[in-house]
Amino acid sequence: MACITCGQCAIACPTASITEKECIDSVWEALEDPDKYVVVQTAPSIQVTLGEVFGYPVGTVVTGKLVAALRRLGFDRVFATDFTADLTVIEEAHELLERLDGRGKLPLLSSCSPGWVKFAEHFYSEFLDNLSTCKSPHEMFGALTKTYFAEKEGIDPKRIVVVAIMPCTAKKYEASRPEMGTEDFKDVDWVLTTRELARMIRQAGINFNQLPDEDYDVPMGISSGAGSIFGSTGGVIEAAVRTAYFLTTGKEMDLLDYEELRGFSGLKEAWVELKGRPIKVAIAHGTGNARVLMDRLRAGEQFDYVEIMACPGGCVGGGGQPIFGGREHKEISLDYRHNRADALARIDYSKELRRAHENPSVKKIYEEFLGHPLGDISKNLLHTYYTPRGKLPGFNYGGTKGSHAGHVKENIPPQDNQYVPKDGKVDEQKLQ
Amino acid sequence: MDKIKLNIDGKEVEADKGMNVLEAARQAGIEIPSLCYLRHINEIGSCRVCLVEVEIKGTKTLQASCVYPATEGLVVYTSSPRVRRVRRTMVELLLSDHHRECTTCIRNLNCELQNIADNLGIRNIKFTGEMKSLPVQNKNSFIVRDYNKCIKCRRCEAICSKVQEVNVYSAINRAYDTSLPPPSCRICPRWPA
Ligand code: SF4
Ligand code: SF4
Ligand code: FES
Repeated sequence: MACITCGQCAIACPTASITEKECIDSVWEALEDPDKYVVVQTAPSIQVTLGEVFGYPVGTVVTGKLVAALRRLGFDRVFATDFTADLTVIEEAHELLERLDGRGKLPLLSSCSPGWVKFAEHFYSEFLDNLSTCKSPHEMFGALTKTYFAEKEGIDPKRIVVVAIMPCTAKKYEASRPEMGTEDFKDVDWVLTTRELARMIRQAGINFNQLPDEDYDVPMGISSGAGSIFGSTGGVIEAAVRTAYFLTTGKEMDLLDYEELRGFSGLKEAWVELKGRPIKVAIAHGTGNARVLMDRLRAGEQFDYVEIMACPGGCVGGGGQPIFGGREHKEISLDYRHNRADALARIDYSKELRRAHENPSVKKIYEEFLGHPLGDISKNLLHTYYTPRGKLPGFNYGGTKGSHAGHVKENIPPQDNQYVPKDGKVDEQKLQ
Repeated sequence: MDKIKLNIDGKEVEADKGMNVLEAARQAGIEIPSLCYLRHINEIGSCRVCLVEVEIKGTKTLQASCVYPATEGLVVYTSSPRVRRVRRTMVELLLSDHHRECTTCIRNLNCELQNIADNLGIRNIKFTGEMKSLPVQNKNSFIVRDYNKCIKCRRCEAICSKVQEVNVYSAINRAYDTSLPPPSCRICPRWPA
């Protein structure tokens, strides 16, 4: 079967037989090049997992030290992917409302987990039209850095190198997809896992535990609590529903935390009131659970909004997160993922800014650059399309799929030299 | 949950019915090293690092504790001279076919095999036989696969098929030649497609 690049096997392997592909050297090279302007972004979950490598207990929040360490490493700007997670919330909430209005297919399936996206492309390609067309937040971030930010700061986009610190091996694959970028640039140049960042910090001889707490740079380092909880299962839906509720009623939702939405049972569903009607949402994490849910969809069950993350626990259990190989009781259980997720929830509670649409930087970027959500510029830069791939690796079953929002002509590459079976059907036997 | 009593290293220990000896011992604070075992995910008893001596009616046999059920009245020795000797041999055998380039390895100081070898105090390996030398697979953008360091514990296969249900890996061949193919040969020909 085709691999979805989730990296869970790399976490499971007790030795170095399966490991992430390191790109530390390329990042050093960019940092050493005086011509390059190197911008780094950190995924929401990094702030609760990086500390583990330096001896902090699981679930310690080390945001300030993380930022300080990145500055010491020589990155020109230190931003947070949480910012574009907020943006994703807004785009996706609009997409949800559009689809609830009958434009586009329901249920809306979330698309910010690249492992899940690839899983859908291989095993559930009939649902590709249901996938949200939003790129994952780090790709959005890259696209905006090389357009909005470059223009604002007067830097030639060709000089900018975007490095993403991610909990994920699938994001390495995602960054190499041809559709993630334009002819002139790749949205994200290098993806480092949490483990690789820890190694860079050690290589530079930085004493992590002694670092002061520093803040992210503005403007793309400002984020709301909604952006932070993207890093654990249930977070995307929770954030998007907060915003969709505000968009439709003009009121803030009193009760912000759907308890039934977060936490670690593999599969959950809930009813939420939106647009005067109850909508049914579901959450799955780990593609094994996703299969159960997708098979129910296939059987005709109705849902309105579904969030799926490829790794058990969401990003906090990602394939690029720290491994405890040296510890005595090494076990791959969900326990430590739970503590990490609790820490993300604590960040969410502690922020004054908890809703994505309140984020001043996000408001500003719509005013100054993007126009409005699902507008032409955002469709071009922030949305993408998907490719049906079939169950076996190495094939592209022809055609690309993008539903309404991201279906921008310029985004879709020419169809030639792709494998298209004559009768449109695929003889799987022949492929083996 | 029904409770049972067993005797581990001369200590009366209580355990839940249905537990294996490894879990029962760990619950009682007695550590038995393990390698291939992942609770509820990979319980196949392939590495034999968790060997213990089990006494039934006066006869002692060596058993892999991670797959041996804890039963009422069982007598277990986790660190008898025989256990220590054989356990050590098992790890030496694993190491005899493992590219031991620890200082330059990406998992240096974070490797379970290294950790166990260190705990057992292995200083030299008496087995000198054939050692595989296969090319490292790194022709994709996210994962590197080095067959020379694989100990065939099958944890990768277990997590990919039981937790993620993607079923990428499946072991081929037998014994010394066992190999767990992708991510590599079945992925890379036209990767990333
Ligand atoms: S699907 Fe995930 S667990 Fe399976 S081989 Fe690919 S990266 Fe490893
Ligand atoms: S590659 Fe798979 S079988 Fe080999 S050591 Fe790693 S987890 Fe075990
Ligand atoms: S841990 Fe019991 S045989 Fe491997």
